[in-house]
Amino acid sequence: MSGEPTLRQRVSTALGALAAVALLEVVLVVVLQLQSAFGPGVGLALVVMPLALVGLALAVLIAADRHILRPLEAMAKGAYRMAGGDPARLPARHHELGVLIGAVAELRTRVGEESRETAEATGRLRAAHAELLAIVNTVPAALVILHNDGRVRLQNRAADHLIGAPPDGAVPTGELWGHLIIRDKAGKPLKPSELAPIRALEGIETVGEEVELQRPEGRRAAILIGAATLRDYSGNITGAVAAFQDITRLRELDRMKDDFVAIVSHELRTPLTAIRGALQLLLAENDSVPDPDNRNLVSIALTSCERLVRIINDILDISKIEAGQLQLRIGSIKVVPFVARAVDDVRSVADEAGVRIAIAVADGLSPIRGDDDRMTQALVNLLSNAIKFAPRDSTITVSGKAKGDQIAISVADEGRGIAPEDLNRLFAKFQQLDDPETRRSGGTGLGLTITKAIVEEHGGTISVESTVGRGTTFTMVLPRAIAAPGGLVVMPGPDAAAGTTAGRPVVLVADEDEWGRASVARAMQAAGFRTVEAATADDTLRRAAIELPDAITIPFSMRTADGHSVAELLGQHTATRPIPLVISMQPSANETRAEKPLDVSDIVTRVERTLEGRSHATVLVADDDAEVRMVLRKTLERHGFQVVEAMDGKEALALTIQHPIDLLLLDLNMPEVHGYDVIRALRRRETTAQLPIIVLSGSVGERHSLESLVLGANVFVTKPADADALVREVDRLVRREPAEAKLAGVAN
Amino acid sequence: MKLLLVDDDPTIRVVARMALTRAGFEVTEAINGADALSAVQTIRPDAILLDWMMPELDGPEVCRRLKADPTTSSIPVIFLTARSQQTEIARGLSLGAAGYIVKPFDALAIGHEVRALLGQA
Repeated sequence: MSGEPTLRQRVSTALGALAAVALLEVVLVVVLQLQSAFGPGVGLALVVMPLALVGLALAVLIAADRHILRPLEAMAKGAYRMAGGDPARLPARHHELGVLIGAVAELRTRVGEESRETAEATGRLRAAHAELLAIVNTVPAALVILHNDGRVRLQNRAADHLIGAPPDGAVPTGELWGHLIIRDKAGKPLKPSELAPIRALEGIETVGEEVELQRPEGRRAAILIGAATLRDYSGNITGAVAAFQDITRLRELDRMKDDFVAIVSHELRTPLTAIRGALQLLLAENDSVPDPDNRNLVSIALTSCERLVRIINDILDISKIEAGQLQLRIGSIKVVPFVARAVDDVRSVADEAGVRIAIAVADGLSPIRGDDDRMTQALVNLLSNAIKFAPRDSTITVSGKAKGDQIAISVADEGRGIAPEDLNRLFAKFQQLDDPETRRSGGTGLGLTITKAIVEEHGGTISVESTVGRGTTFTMVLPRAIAAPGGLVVMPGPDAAAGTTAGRPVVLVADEDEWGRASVARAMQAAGFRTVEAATADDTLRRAAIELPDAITIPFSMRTADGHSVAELLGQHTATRPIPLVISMQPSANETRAEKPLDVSDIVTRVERTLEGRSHATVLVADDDAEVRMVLRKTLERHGFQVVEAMDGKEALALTIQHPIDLLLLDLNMPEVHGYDVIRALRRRETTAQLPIIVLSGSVGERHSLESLVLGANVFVTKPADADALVREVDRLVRREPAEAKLAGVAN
Repeated sequence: MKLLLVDDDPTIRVVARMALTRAGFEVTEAINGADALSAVQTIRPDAILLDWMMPELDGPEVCRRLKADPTTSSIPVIFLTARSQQTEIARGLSLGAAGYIVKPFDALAIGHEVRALLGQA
């Protein structure tokens, strides 16, 4: 400020008129410039104030008072400050008006710069917006942003494609999506207000809801929707954003996988059935393929076919397990027979490999809680695996012992062992340790995976220990059957209708009272029965018809909704009529259990007595092969039958006179008296005319079976007979009569 | 004993027919569901062996129709199924089937199995 020449000095040399003209010119210029910069209104307003001041200054200029000139100077300086520029750079008009003009010019420049910057910023903003739109449009998921009144604010190209472009202007949401049919997963059409994006406008956010969307032209799409609420800084809902992902392809792939499994199951099995059947029939008679080499070839084909069937079954098992569809029929499994059964299963393979199997099960072991068939499958897998790796003349040991509250079943071989780095790969799918021997022995690579899954599905664990050069031990640790009260109440699903395991009678335990049902079921299982449970009268009738149990226990009071007694209804149907009923007298509802407990042991005894007909039945085994007789005796005795042996036809005929025999298991080719003659003789005799006869023959020919049946045998079974199937037959033939008679007793 | 064997696959029919004939049955074949329904009327079989999966009229549907018709409802039906899923087996039995035999069946045992399921061993 000090270097500035004062206004007063300059004004004294200036002429008032000249100044007035010059000032007027300036004012006009300024008005025009400001108008162009800010628009007419603003320009005028900005000019009015200085104009008024300058006019006033001119009016009193001739009087030239310093008090008037000073504000003018201040005003000019203010203008410089306002422009933020340096007055020294102004055109060198060395008088005060010149300074003022400079200040205004500077102001004009700055305003120009400001507006250019604003334009640049707007441009950048537009570019960013376009970029964002490009990104949003590139995203494959459909994105929709809604105003809080439901109008579409923005939607990307994928959304245009999926749900159609929104018509111009404001369209209410309901109308906007009115052309679509949207259903939930269950197929129920959804109202607009139920849609996730609209719910988001109410503040309800959605993550991954699956719906089906149908376009007007009929195209259907499976859609995954996510929707979020948009709010301003004070929390008011301003709109919603929704993302729709088309998962139709994903669902399609899922379906293709299921289809594939179905194809494996059906399309592959059908030709296999034909191949296997054809080969079996070819080999069945010695003379159809007389050349030993050719017979060998047919055997190889049959063996490979069986292997293929096993692989397919394994793959189906795995896919079932992975889909979580492995259904367990939980019961109580006694360890000794369970281990014996699994060992029996692999006996022939072990014999072929020259491997002995030793069984070491601790005394008094509690039963395992599990699905008998599946657990047997698991143990057989471990045994087969061990046999593969066991050297000739070595021993595999199966042991069972208690481990805390659980039961540990181990399979130990004396093979080469597995290197530590390979141990964790063992249970992986299709994993066969690199060993040409395994490949040769025909594993599927799925056995251990399936075993592990079965064990884990039972709530157990499986582990492996191995020492290279010494052998490998697999150990399954499984839950005990008798646990806390109620621990055994496992209702098999409605699908558990598949056949029952031979030899283990099934008891349907019906009781509306959960506690009563659990105690009876537990006692039945402890007595060696398999149990099925029913909680209502209707359920009892249904399960009785589906499962065809060996016996049913029902409380006396059990009635259907319309008052019919369950016992009566069971007697009315052909399928359920022969099933013996054991009716328990239960405490009525107003008596407490402590005062009059359900006599569980009485029910068990009565069921046992009812089924006695078969457990004490005597089977005559007639076969000239001592080994066959021994195997049959063992099998039958394990299932509670009495066994009498005959070593030829003559002895068989003699024994049927001396002993009360309930069933005859008869070999055909025996010395002295042939099987055919035994059947003939027995049928002629009045006392044995109805005696059930099962012909068990190594000669498979059609002629033999036909002849036997014509002569009066009830069943023809070829050797080697499946033990379970055979027991099932024996059981059925022995029981038919007594079961009917017993029902009559119950009905009275 | 007269059996009606229903399967759309000719190779299965040949093998099953041979196996069942060998086991002492008199076997008539039907090549699909419709054929089966008309054959039942003419030959009056003692039992029907019915494939589960067939084009058009599938096994379950044929079984449902047989059971709904009082003139055929008493003929035992045994399903031949390549599927071992428990749900399907349960469904088959709930339709009134006497039982099921899973493919691949054992050609040497199928006759025995059929008799066992019919309770006529």
